[in-house]
Amino acid sequence: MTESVLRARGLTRRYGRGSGMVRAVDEVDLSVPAGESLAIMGPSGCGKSTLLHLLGGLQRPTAGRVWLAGRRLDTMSERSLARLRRDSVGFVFQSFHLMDELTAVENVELAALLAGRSPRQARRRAGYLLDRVGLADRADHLPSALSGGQRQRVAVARALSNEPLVVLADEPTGNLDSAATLEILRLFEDLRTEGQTLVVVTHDSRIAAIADRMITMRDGAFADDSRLAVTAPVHGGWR
Amino acid sequence: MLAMLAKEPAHGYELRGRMRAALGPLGETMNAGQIYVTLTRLAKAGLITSERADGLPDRPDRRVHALTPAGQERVTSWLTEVSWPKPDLTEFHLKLVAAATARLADPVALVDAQRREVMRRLRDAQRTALDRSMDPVAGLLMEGVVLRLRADLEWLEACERMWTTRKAGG
Amino acid sequence: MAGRLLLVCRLLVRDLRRRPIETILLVVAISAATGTLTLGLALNDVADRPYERTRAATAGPDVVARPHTTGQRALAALAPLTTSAGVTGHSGPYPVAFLVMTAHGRTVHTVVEGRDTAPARVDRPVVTEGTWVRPGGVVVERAFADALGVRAGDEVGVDGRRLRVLGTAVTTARPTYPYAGWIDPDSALVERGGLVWVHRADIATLAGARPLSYTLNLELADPDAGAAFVDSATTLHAGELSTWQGIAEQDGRLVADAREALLVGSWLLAALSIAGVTGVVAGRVVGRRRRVGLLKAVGAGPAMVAVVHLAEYLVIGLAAAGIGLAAGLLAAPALIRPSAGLLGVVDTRPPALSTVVAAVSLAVVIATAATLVPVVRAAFASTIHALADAATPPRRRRWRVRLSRRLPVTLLIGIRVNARRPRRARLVTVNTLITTTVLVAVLMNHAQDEPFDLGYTDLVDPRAERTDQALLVLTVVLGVLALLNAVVTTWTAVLDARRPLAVARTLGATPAQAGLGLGVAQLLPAIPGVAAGIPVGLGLYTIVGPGELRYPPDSWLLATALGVLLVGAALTAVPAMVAARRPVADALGSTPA
Repeated sequence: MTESVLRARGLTRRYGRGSGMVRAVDEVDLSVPAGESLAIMGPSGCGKSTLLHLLGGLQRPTAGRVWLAGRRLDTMSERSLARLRRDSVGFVFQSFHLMDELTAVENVELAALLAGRSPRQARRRAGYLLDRVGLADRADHLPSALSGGQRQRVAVARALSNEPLVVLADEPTGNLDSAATLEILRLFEDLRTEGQTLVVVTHDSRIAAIADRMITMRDGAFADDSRLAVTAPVHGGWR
Repeated sequence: MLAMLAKEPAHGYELRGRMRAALGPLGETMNAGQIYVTLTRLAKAGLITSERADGLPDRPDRRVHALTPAGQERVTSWLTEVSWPKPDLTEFHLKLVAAATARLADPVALVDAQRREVMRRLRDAQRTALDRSMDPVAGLLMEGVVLRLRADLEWLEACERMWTTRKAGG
Repeated sequence: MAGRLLLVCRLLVRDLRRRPIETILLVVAISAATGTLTLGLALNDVADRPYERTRAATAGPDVVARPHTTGQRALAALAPLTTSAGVTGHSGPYPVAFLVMTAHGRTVHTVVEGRDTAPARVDRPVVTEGTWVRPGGVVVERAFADALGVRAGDEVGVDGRRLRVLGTAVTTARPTYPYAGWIDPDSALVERGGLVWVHRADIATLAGARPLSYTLNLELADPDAGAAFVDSATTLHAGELSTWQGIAEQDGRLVADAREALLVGSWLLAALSIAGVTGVVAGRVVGRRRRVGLLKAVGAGPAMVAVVHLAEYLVIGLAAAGIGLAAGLLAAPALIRPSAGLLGVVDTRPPALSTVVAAVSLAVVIATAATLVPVVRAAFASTIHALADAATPPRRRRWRVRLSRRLPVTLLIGIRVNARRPRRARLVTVNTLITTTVLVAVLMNHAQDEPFDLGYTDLVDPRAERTDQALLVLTVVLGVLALLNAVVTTWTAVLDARRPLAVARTLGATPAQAGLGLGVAQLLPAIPGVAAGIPVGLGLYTIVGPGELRYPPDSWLLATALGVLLVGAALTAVPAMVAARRPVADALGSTPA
């Protein structure tokens, strides 16, 4: 078994207290080996987004531990977390979260510049990534001039900017129509085949079907964990 | 298959190629034997004629097949037909009901297992569909398969919700 | 490092360009405050420098002796001074008579000094127009001449004798008009008046039966030892001797009131501008919490986030400080309008460092004070929180909602809109409080206007005139700022309330009700501001102003209060009504950015 990029033990996040307390994530154990693509599915409100935020250090757990590349996230300072996110994690959000005032290429550069790369290096890398997501000709467009699918591709390019250990995606196709979804599916499929470690939280079965492994979440806990990559065993008839 | 001959008469091997192009990856599974068995059946029913081509050995794939008027008529009526195969969900539904009432198994676990299977199929279908080298017309068929599987997954989700609450309530 | 710097600059420039109106509002608000402060501080400089320059040009005395006695007794008292230790030169004693002069039909107290035609060693008044004294003519101190409107060649009457005005001149041996130190021979009280020079030979005739006073100009080895010299003098009281510093101070007093008004005013304006800047910044930061979350998600630490945002406000603050400084320094000479009694008003020397430091600090303090809290809060907020939603959800005030149920629709809408955003309501209160305070203080000042006694006629009191000008400047700047603030709060209120108002309209409220409701929402918090502003304004003037006070009539105060409220309500109601005229679906559909 390869070394785990991402690992969690007894990860718990609660909101509120007393009778109004909600266990968004309840004692979750998880291990994501390098190169694995993992989809976390479940009905809305099952805590899958919260889990992703905990894994990426965007939120702190109420209890439990998280490791990213062997380093504890839950006890880290906000500063170190920021540095870790910058160097090791790429986020893709449902609502893209691009800076409206920056052009596509400037948005992609953002992470590299924050990481202290020189402007020239950052620009070269951004150009390469935009070309990779098929948007080289849109580099100087503002997000408002791009379609939903194009914006999300810019966001993916930005997430890849610092060659992250893991890409965390939260409903990446949630705001897209089916044609745009296809663009993103292709992109994620490419990432998977290249061996990029991926964690996608979604209720879109199409994006989940990209993954090698699928976890179903129910009420903050894992209900089912299956590897899709293994060829289907002979199982109960269907139709 | 009759419809594939509607354009013009064709050799058996041409016919097989046409079928494959239209079905895309799904056509890969179709072997030559199946095609010739079907052609023979159609000839017996009087829907096609098959003639030996000149200067070629008399082998099924070297014969030229063409539609008879009855065959033409059959194609036309096939095109206007609106029947739609209905997916058979009853069996799985009964499985769940039986598992729950007779306490044979946890219906939610059955749903999970079934979902795994459907996801696996979805994954395979989708990988094929995403292949950029695929002919777009054949891709359309894959798209249909993907959509059907997604519908099944949604239904499984509904089953899950129902049986989770049943389990919790009872 | 270069990359990060580039990033900060890029974000800064883009953001400023994206929101030009807000940027301009911020610059205007901050520069108004720094400009007023600069003006207040600069007045001192502007007043001091011409005195020094004139002193150098006229070989001004270090100490001036003006005994209260007359005739031989005065000359006897002055005699030992010329040989006292530390005295290196002198001129005089010159005869002085306290008479009246009539010019253009106005009769005023006039100090008449008899001089020689030849220039003296100490105190050589610089002739600014015409020529110096000769028998039969009179030279008028320039500020005095300005006030009376006389020029070389005019004729004036001194105690009934007609004399031709030979010219105008400036000196530093006596304070300029109206503090030339006219002494009533009967009561020995010093009164206001101006200075003229005549030929020494003419003065006896002019004075007639009245005894002559004398004045002696001294030059000391150490010009700064004046105070010690005054203390050591034995033949004269301290009150009969003036150092050049004392005279300079008296000249400066002309603008002292104006300066004080401007300084106090600039603090009020600073408060007003903080209120305004807070309003704008709060709107901006709320709009950018998502941006903060995003920066954090891609790996910016709290420090970076804070730098990105603070840098922007610092740039705005510094730009505004520059504009304010320039405006204040340009306006200062106009306000001090030559102490005409002195030379060289237009000064090319750079402003005092302390003034620059004060103005820049004020701007930076305003910019940071208004931004620090929201920016820091945003920087340390949970990333997810920041990403999820822009605005803090409106608060619910139960009692207000319950109370408003019993009121007419317009009031109901008004109270509920306010209950949503209590902090903004507080800004409105502060805004009206300060506005009313300043207006009331101005009214108070106006009520103090009393006839300016120059013996037989009333002339404009240059001191009050300058205070009035200062207050005018203050009022105009304040008006601009207050309007600006009102527009900002109104604008954000209209944006924020667009959706609830649209919902109210789908439920049957008319556009007019919705618009007026918003007007009411702005008006309600303004009422306590106005109510408190009146006593605060009166109190402030009592503390800062002169001893004896007269209060403006109540009707004036009432009119001011109503005026402030009306303007505020009108400012809101108009854009609100315009917004309310838009189709409901538009407002419902458009998400507040």
